[in-house]
Amino acid sequence: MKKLIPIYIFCILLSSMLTGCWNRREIDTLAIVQALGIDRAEDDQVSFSAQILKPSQVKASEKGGTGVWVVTSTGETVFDAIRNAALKTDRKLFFPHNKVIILSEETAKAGITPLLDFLRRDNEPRRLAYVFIARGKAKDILVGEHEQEKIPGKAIETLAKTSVITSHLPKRDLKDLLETLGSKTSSSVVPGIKIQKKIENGTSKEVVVLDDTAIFKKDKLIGWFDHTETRGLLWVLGEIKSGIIVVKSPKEETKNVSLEIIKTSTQLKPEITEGKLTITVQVKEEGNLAEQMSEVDLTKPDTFAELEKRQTTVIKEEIQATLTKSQAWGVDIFKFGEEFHRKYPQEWPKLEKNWDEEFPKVEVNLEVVARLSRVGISTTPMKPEESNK
Amino acid sequence: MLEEGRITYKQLILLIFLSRIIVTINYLPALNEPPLNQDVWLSELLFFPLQLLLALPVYILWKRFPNQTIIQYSQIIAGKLGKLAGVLIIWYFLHSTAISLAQFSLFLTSAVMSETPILFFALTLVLVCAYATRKGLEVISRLSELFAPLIIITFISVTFLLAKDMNLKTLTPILEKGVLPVFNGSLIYSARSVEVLGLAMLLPYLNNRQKVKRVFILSFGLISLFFVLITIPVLTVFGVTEARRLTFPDYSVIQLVNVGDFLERIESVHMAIWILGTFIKVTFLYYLTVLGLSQLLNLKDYRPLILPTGTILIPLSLLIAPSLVELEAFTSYKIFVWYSFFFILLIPSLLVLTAIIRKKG
Repeated sequence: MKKLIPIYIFCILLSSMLTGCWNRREIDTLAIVQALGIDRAEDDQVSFSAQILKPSQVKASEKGGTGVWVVTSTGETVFDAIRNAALKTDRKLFFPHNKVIILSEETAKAGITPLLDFLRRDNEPRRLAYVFIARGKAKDILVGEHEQEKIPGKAIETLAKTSVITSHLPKRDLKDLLETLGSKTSSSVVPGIKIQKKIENGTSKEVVVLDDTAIFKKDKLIGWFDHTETRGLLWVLGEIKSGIIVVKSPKEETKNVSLEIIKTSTQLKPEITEGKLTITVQVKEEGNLAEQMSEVDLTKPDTFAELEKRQTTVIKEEIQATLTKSQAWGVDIFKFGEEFHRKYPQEWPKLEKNWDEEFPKVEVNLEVVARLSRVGISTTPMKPEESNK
Repeated sequence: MLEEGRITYKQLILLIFLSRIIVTINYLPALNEPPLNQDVWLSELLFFPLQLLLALPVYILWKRFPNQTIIQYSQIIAGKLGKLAGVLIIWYFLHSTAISLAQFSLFLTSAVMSETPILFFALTLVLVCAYATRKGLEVISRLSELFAPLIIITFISVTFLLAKDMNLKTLTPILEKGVLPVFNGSLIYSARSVEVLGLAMLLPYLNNRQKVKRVFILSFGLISLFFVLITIPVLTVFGVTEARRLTFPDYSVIQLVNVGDFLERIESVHMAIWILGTFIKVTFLYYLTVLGLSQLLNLKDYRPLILPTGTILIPLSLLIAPSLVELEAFTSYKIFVWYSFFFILLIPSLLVLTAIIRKKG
């Protein structure tokens, strides 16, 4: 019996460990953040907005508001603002499920590195959240509605994923952004997001749309690229997964033809000859004839070849326009610097120091090979057949 | 003899392997050591031959005294001075245990449970380790045989799950700053291996004397390959600059695993194997400390020393690491490498020299 007493004491002590740990947080005490936005408030303060999930609303019947609540608070720092939110929410903000980070245009112009530090350092937020720059205030985006989803944060996330098929916008998560922000030579690009007013049945609605691409120099926003310019950039980065190239139809120059991008690959070949930097951009593309608004039969070898040629020209023009603009702005969004670093490690330390001056002088050769392979499941356009005379 | 248990060469290899990699994978100090760029993985490969070279004195000593541990034969070789060497080595074991313990609790408090008192983690781990130590060498080595496959398989599968996020271009240019920084890097990694002295303690307990060479080669080879396996995902997913700024690179990279939006948030797996591995490491060093101490004092049993050593361990771990910043400052290569070289290279080399001169063994 005496032998058993220590064992009993040990068991009792062990049971005290079963109560759970210090950081125990039950789901009903958490405010699950779906999307967050950072704005600039007056007096250099940070304004923080979070889209918090309302679980009871998500499962509720078809009608009746969104499943989220947007809370806004201000503070001296980002974390200070987040903690100040506890004055308004009865639950503590919980970040691991955050999917979207929105920074306002105004804060981006002043520099985003200080704002992102909390998201890098804290153990809750994930680096897989998508980052956007808001045209206007980030908070307005968060309160904006979305028809298909109850949770706007989720809607924005899927928008980012779906927009890939237009190849008009880059897709950037926090990890990608931090990688380019940490680079000495490369510049960052982030997709933009804005509110569009829509009038429907007499009531005005605010809808969230993705638009344009924000271009950064170091960590400051310096301008925007439109859809075609963004595509020019994505060609060089090799990030195009799909998309539509519109060209004029041969033989009927006023009508349009859509060519769908199926497969692309990009190679960058840097070269230094006598101190002069050149880089060869090789783009290989394969597309399909996806739609024609003209009435000519395009499925003939000669017109098909003409289409291929026009497709090549369009791609070249897109890339060229982007190159000229970014070299004028002095932003190496194409990661050319890294390519030179890889091939010429000996010369690189010197180049790195004044890359800002070197980059606009880099000569770029474009080699685009664009092919068309399929025509879809019908061949010629629909029109009454002409009788053979 | 103090320890009656015998272990197989496989168990010894896995024990050495787990003990060397487990804390390192989480802190990955290699990223902030020369060569300081994408050549880290080359250094890690070069680590293998260098580590073998550094372990040569221990191997020669074992040849001369196949039935004794370093604590015992140092007294035969150098008498009173040998006893001093034994004290120093035991201090080094104790210190390494405390460092691992601190690394364990600091990781848990900073990455996962930030409000839990650090003492709680240290205390629970030491209690479990004390129990395992009490059970002896055979139990510890069988545990490592049990956990090692689990840990190896997990890390290999994580690497595959991350494959789509990797940008292998990050690894070029190769040898950007030449061979010397790469060499320095591997020298630093091999200096971190307290396990060399672990071998000097455990080789007498090997059941098959023919396999000693194989133990050296396989355990260090495995460690070297595993370092590369851990480093490449971190480097290629984050890029060199961002990877170097992470406190727990491997933990951060596992957080990024996302396959088809359903296989994600698997860092709890990382936590689990990390706790298993650290448990092995701390137990291993803890055992070496008490075994060495009892051999030094000529005790018949090492068990009475376990709890007193544990009570020293916990305050020591809190003392040497009041904060993560101070711990990292000490374990950074600028300080720790010299400290460690003194024990794992200088002491065995001096012993070898003395043994040859005095014709002992």
